[in-house]
Parts: sequence; C-alpha cells; structure tokens
Amino acid sequence: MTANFSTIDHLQAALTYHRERHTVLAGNIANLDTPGYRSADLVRQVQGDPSSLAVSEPGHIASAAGPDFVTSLDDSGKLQSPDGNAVSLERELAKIDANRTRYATSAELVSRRFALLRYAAGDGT
Amino acid sequence: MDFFTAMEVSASGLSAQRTRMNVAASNLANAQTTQAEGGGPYKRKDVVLAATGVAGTENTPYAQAVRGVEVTQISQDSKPPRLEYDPGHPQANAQGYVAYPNINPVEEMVDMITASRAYEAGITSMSTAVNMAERALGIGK
Amino acid sequence: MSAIAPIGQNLGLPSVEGMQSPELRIQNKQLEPHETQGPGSFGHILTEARGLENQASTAQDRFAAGDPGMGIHEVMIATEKANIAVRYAATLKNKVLEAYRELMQTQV
Repeated sequence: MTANFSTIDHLQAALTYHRERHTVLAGNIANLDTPGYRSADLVRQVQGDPSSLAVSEPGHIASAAGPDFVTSLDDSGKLQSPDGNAVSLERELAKIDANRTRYATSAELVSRRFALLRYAAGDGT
Repeated sequence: MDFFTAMEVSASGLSAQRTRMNVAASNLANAQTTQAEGGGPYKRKDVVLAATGVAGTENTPYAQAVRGVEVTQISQDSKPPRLEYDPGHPQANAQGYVAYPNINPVEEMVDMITASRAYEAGITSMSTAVNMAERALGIGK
Repeated sequence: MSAIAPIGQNLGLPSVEGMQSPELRIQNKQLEPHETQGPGSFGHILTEARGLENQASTAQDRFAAGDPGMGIHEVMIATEKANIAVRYAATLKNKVLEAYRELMQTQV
C-alpha cells in the first residue's frame, strides 16, 4: 500500500512549497512601501546537490532548514523608487495568483488520487 | 507554519497601510492649523516602516523568509514652518508673518492613494491564503 | 477430504492445505516468515494500517492543539491515508473470510 502513496507524498511536498511561497510573497505585498526592501521569492530545488546551489545561482541564499527551498532575493535593481524599495506590485500579484492556482491544482490531484485508491481499497464497491 | 503565518504577514501590512492613511488624513486635515497642541503650527507627521518577523515563527525552518511590516515610528517633520505674510491674522508675529504647517496637500493625497492601493493588495493576499486553506479542507472529500 | 478438518481447527493463514478458491489461492504449504511479514502479506498490511492510523491520530491531536507546524493539508492527507489503509485491510480480511466460507460449503 505504501508504494501507492508516493505520488501523494510528492503532491504533499508541492502543497507545502506553495503554501510557504505564498507566505514569502505576502511579505512582499506587506512591504510594498518599506524603504530599501527587496522582493523575495521561494525557489524549489528539483534535483541536485544543495551545496552546489550557492555556487551556481548567484543571488540565492540557502535556507537554514531543508535543502528543498531556497529564498531568492531580487537583485535586478530595476524600477526602484527613491527610497530604495523595489517591489513591483503587479508582478507580485501575478505570482501570488499563479501560486494559488498550483496549490489548488495539487490539492485537487490529491483528492482524485485518494478517490481512486479508496475505490481500489474497497475492491470496486 | 500553516496559513496562519501568511495571514499574520498580510495583517501586518494592512495595519501599517491603515496607519499611513490615518496619518496622511491627519496631515491633510491640519494643513492650515496654525495653533496646534504645545504651541506653534501643526507639524507634519510621517510614518516610518520597517520589515519585521512574525511572532511565533522564530523556530520554524523558514523563519528568515517570513517578513511582515511594522510602523517603527510616527515621526514629526523637522522642516521649518511655511511663513505667509498676513499682518491682520491673530497669529501673526511681530514681522506680520503667520507660521503654517509645511504640508503639501498633493503629497498627502499621493500618500493616501498609494496606501490605499497597498491596502487593497493586502486584502487580495489575505483572501488568497483563505482560499488556499479552503482548498486544503476539500482534500479527501 | 481430510484437509477440511485441519482448516476447521485453525484459521491461521500459515498452514492451510490443498484448497483453492477462485478469488484467493491458498497454497498447499506452510508459509515462510518472510511471506507473512514481508510487503504484500496480510500481516504487513495490517501493521501498515495501524501505523498510518497512529500517524493520523497524532496529526489530528497536534492540529487540535493548535500546533503551528501541523498544517491543514498535512492533517487532511494523513487522515485520508489512514482511512484508505484501514479500508484496504478490511477488504482483504473480508476476502479471506469469504474464501474460508466457500471452503466450508464445499461438498466432500
């Protein structure tokens, strides 16, 4: 039975990632007018060695806890307001919406997978 | 770190922007106040914002990535008052000048508008967190 | 057939002799320990269901206590996994019982 849950475990990891990412993006909105604030995002590392991430991706800061998510700061320096704030409202809102959609999709996929397993567990009843 | 943290972050933003709106409104309302508490013309107020952590998340894995906002200070403008020549005014000084607050109504309106825009964005952000939580509740139905 | 008496005495899976049903083949041999404990065996499935049930209970307790580390989707998924595992174990148990009943009805 455990083998059948592996897809669900992957989807659960995705759900966790999108929830944590929303928290970071919400912080960008909260700090829309904070002087000197730079947008942050949570980037998911799909594969590979966590220790190599700092070398290959400039601007990334390895998260203290799992190697799975990495906080990336916006270093582009574009469109800064005079007080040094560099949050683009439209971009952040777009990211928040896209992120929400992925969360909802993952949740839906988990539900459907459970429905299938429930059916199989009940032997077609 | 459930959605509670994201909602705390959004709430901190809403609170800070509301303070900005209140301060801008106060400045606008007092743009012509020549006699404020403590004597002298009203001094323009300004809101100082800073990014902050959220209480209760200090030991969670992504604590460093959690950034809300707080008002660290409502500072008083130290610019000198605007002098207008009006010898007949009851508050005119010996030279016939009246001291008015150094407030530009256009500036205050812009502050109110940006605060309002940021407030609406904060509402969207908060609603999104609620929406996601509701989707999670639907798992397994 | 002399094989029926031993079945009546002992319903344990490890020693069932010579009977076959269309749904569940019970082979004429003593099952090795790894077959009763290994993955796919009924024992293993029961253990797993129990484990998942415990995890779900813990998750629900933590959530009820307001533990910030236990999120909504975590507890929902843990709960549903346990439900499915227990349901699966119950289905298997029913299959075994069904097979036994069919055995008992077989004309000698």
